[in-house]
Amino acid sequence: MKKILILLIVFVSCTTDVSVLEPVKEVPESLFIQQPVGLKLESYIVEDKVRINTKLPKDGEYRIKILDFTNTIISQEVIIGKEGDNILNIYVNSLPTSSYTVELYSKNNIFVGRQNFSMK
Amino acid sequence: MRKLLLVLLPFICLSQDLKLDHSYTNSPDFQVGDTITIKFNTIQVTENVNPNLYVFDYEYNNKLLQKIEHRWKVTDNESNTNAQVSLNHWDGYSFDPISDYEDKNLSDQYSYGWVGRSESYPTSNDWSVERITIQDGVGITYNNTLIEVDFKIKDKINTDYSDYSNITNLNWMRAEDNSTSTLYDVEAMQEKITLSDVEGGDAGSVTINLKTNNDKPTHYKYDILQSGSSVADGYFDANSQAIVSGLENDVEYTIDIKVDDELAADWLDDVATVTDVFLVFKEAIGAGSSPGGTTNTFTHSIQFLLGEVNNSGNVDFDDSYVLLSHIMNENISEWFTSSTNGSKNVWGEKNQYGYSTNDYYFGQKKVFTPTDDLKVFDFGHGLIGDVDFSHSFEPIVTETPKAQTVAGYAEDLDLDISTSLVDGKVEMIVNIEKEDLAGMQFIIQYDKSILEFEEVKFDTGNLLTNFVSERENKIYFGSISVENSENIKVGEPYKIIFNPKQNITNTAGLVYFKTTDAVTDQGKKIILKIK
Repeated sequence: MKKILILLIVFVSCTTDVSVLEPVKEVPESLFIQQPVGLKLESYIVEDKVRINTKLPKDGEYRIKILDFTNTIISQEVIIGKEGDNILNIYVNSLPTSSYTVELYSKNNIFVGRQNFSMK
Repeated sequence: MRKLLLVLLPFICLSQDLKLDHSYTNSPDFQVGDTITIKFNTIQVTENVNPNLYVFDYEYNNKLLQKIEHRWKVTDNESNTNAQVSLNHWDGYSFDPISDYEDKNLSDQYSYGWVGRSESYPTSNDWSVERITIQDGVGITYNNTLIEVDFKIKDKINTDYSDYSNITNLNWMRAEDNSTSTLYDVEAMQEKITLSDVEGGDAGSVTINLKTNNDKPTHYKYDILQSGSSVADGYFDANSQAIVSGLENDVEYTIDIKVDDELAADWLDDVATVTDVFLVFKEAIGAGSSPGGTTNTFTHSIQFLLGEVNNSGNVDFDDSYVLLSHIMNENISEWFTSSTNGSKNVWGEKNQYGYSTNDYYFGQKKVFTPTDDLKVFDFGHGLIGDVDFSHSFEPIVTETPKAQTVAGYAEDLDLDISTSLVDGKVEMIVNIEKEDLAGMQFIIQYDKSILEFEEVKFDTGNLLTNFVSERENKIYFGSISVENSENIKVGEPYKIIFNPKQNITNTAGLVYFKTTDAVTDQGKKIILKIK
């Protein structure tokens, strides 16, 4: 009975968990971050989407915030990242053409990195 | 040692790798109406400094200059033909440099004055900001023009400015070698531009100021009539102004101010939202059709005009039903503002707008008379269906006792909205902690090339009316407590689910939080701030 319960708990938790990012084996030069943690965009002028590297201090939940010119959050994602480099995308087709700031925070709202990009 | 430090200090403080310059290219005999061209370029100071990324902001005084167009020049030089370029524009903001650093120290103004500093760009109607981004795989050459911007010189006669000094400013600059993430020090060469001895100016020009809470003034057009015939027409500029020439003194003119429905197609459905439904419903319960009751929800007489959306002559339950149907994507009346109906416009001279007299129904005084001493006129504008004034001018309160303004009622609330990739689907979750919300509405925009909308899962309460509709790449959803007997449950009342059409690693940027609106069970409008 205990085994069934454990299996059920595992099943329920698995079906609602945020997907965990795949570890990165090789970081492209354009996304290489020298510092121990940080955020880097592959390009600062963006069309369609842009790759980003989120270099994280440890495994866990992080938030990627996209802010407009007035520093209002207009899009936000919760990710489960791995310690080290995590290559992700920022998709911009749904956003009005403008310039935006990307910020990365830990679950406890500790600042990790910031970059800005402009749409073509 | 101290002497040595004192000698070295100025050099340390003034260390710089390059300069950013801007200057006009025309002969300096300017007249009102002339076009001036301002060019931007960099100048090398330190050898072997080769940035391949430039991002800089400048601003111009939009009362004195009207932007015409810009031309990229950086790609004309042989070394940077493959450079990528971008220009972004915002009206109504001005950079507030951080005082710890000199204004001309553009790289420090970037690092400390702008990055992460939420108060860096306070609103300022007189200024427009442009952000220029240039990146290349090789160093961006010096001395060559990066971009040229053309402006028309406006007449200062109807402004608060006595001359044309400091009409442009360089705000900050990021110059970087992107391959090594090396940031370079940048100083402004000519930080501000002043035009001296600008001649001319039509003393007979008349300024019409549009008063609206809508942030899209360029979508409004005017038509000025004399004895029923049009004598001038056009659109308001980004500064909510129209400068009209050719009018005569001491002649009474009538002005029509209307939204261009084609330009406004993207936002007309955002005018009437859940707050408007709730306010009309509360008014219908409390005071029926009379503004003289003691339990009025409305705070201005003009709300009876804006809330009368079925042409019955009264504000009652039927009006709230019309608006409720609208937010549920059913159009059952043609008498209010929506993308289906077009705009339904109300306007009047600012000081009269909203207050009925025998001459002016709900204060819609549409006439004005220029004289030698009076050449500036302000007109308030409203839209039928917009009782919370989200896209309308709220009347100036002169009544005794002073009425509580709708804006004065507003309260801020932090809200948590985020997307995640969960079991191969994109989930957007709204998390609220406030307990007295009787209505909420969200408009989100999503990337339809990547996502397919599946459903909204509501967990709002048993007695609430929930709604969701999909219109092109937007989802409208929310809830309202029609009977006002139950509030929206705290926790996670909304979960929106999308199916990706292709493999995605994550969800950042796929969903854009366009509009949020909420109202308490007491009819207080809530300004939602996503945290």
